[in-house]
Amino acid sequence: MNEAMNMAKEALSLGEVPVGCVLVHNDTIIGRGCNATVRTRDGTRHAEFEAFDQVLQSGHPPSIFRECQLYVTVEPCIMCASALRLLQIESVFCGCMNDRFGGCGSVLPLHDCNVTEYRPYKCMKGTLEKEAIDILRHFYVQENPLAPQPLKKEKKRAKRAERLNKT
Amino acid sequence: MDKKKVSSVLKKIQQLCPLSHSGLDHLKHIKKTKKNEDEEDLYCVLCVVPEDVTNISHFFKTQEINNTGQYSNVLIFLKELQIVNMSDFVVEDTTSYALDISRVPSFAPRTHEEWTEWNSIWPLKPAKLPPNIQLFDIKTNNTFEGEDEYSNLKITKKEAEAAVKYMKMAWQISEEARSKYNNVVPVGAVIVRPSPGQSDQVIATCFDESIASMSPYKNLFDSVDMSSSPCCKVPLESTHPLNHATMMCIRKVAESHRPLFETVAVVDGGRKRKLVTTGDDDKLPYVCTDCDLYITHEPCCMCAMALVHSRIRRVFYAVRNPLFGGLGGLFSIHEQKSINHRFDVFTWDQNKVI
Repeated sequence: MNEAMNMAKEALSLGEVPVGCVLVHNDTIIGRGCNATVRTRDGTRHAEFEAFDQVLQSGHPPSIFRECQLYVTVEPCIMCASALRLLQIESVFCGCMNDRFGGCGSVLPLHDCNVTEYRPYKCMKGTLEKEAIDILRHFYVQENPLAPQPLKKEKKRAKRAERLNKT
Repeated sequence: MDKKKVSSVLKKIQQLCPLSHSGLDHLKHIKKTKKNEDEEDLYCVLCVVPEDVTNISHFFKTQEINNTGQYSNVLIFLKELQIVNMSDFVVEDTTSYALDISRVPSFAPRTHEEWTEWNSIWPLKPAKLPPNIQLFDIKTNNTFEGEDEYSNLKITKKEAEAAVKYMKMAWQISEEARSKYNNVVPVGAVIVRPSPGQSDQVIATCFDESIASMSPYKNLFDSVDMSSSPCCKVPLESTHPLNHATMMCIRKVAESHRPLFETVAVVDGGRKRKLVTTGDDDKLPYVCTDCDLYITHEPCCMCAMALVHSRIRRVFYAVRNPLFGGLGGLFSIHEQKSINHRFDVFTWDQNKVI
C-alpha cells in the first residue's frame, strides 16, 4: 500500500489527480500505475489501466490477473471496477472510498453483482485511508485546468470540501 | 442433446461442407426443432441438391452444386448426432441417420421482412442488415413512427436520420472485422462530432480488438459467427483483454487531441499548475465533449463509465447486452445520480433488431 501511495505522490508531482496503484503477484510487484488522464488527454487512463498495460507489455499473459491483488489508494471507479471484474482479479485493497464514482460499493457494486461469467472479487477498504484523503485534498485545493467550466463552481467546491471533511 | 458434441460435429461439417462454397453463407449450418420437452432434432446442411434429384443417397455419392431461384434445395441430415461417427463421413448406410431434402433461401435477405420470413424456413445468420430505423429513447420507452412523435424525444427527425446513417457505418465496421478475423467479437463503433452548419465529422471508427474469450460481448454472438472460418480469415493478434470498441475509439480521439497540447500541467511550487497549449484555448476539445457514439452492441459497464469520463453527449446502440451492459442491460450508468456527467442513450426497438 505504501508503494501505491508513492505512485499517487508521483501523480501529484506530474499534475495529475493523485491516485496510484500496484499489482502484486506472489508477493512481487508486477505492475505500477499512476493516473495519466491529464498527460494523455484521455479521461480513461486511470492508474489501474496504466498498471494493466504495464503488466501486459512486460509479457505476462492476461490470465495472470486471476492470481493478482490490486493495491490502490482510492476505491476503483465504475470503469476500473468493471475492468477488474472482467480480468477476474483475485482481490482489491483500497485506501479511501469514492462516493461519486466508486464501483466497489459506493455507487454500484461491480465487485460482487451477479454476473455469472466473471467471478466476484473481494474489496477491502481503509488501508492508509487518511493519507489517501490528505493527498486528494491537497490536489483539489488546486483545480483541474483542463476540466470544462462547471456552472456552479463555487457551490461545488464548497460541497466537495464538506464531503472530504466528513470522510 | 449434448451441447459439446454438437459443436464438435459442427466443426467437422464446416470443414467438410463449407456453406460459402455453395453461396449459402447467410444460412446457419444447423436447424433445431423441438421434438418434445427434452429432445431436439438437429438438421444440418450438407450440400445443394439440383431440383430434379429423387434418389438421395445415389446423389450424395456424385454431388454437384446448383443454385438458382429464390429457394435452393439442400440435402440435410437429422436425428441423433451422438451415434454418427463424423470422422468417416461417408453416406453408405443411412440407417444411423436420415438424409432428406429441404428448401432454404438461396441468397441473403435484403430487408427485415425477408429475414423474418426466411428465418422461419431455415435459421439465418444474424445482422447483415442495418438495424431497424425505429428509434426509441430507453428512458421513456417512447417508440416513434410519425413525425409528431419526435417532439417527445430529445432528438429531431434529421438527427434520427443521421443516426441511422452512422449506425449503418458501425455495422459495416463490425462486418469488416468479422470478414477479416476469425477470433474477434464483431462489435463496431463510430464517434461523430456534429458541427452545426457544417457536415458532421467522423473522428474515430474502431472495432473490438480484445481477446474474444474474455469479452463480455461474446454471448451476443454465436460461436459460429465468430469462428466460422473460410480460409481467408486470420486471427487478430490481440494481447489486450480490454480493448473493446468503445475504448479503442476513445483512445483514438484522445490521441488526435494530444498534438494540440505542447506541455501539460507544469507544477509551479507544488501549488499552481499551468497549462501550455499550442492552440486557441477556447477551441480546445475536452475529450469527447459534444460527440456522439454509435455502436452496434451496448457498451459494457467498463465502456459505459469510460464514456462518462470522456463526457460523451449521446450514445446510440442497437443490440442490448443483458450480461454486462452498462447502459440499460445490467446497470444504467448514464443515469446514476452521484455521477457528474449524464447523457442520453438511444436504442432501437429490441424486437426489431436482428
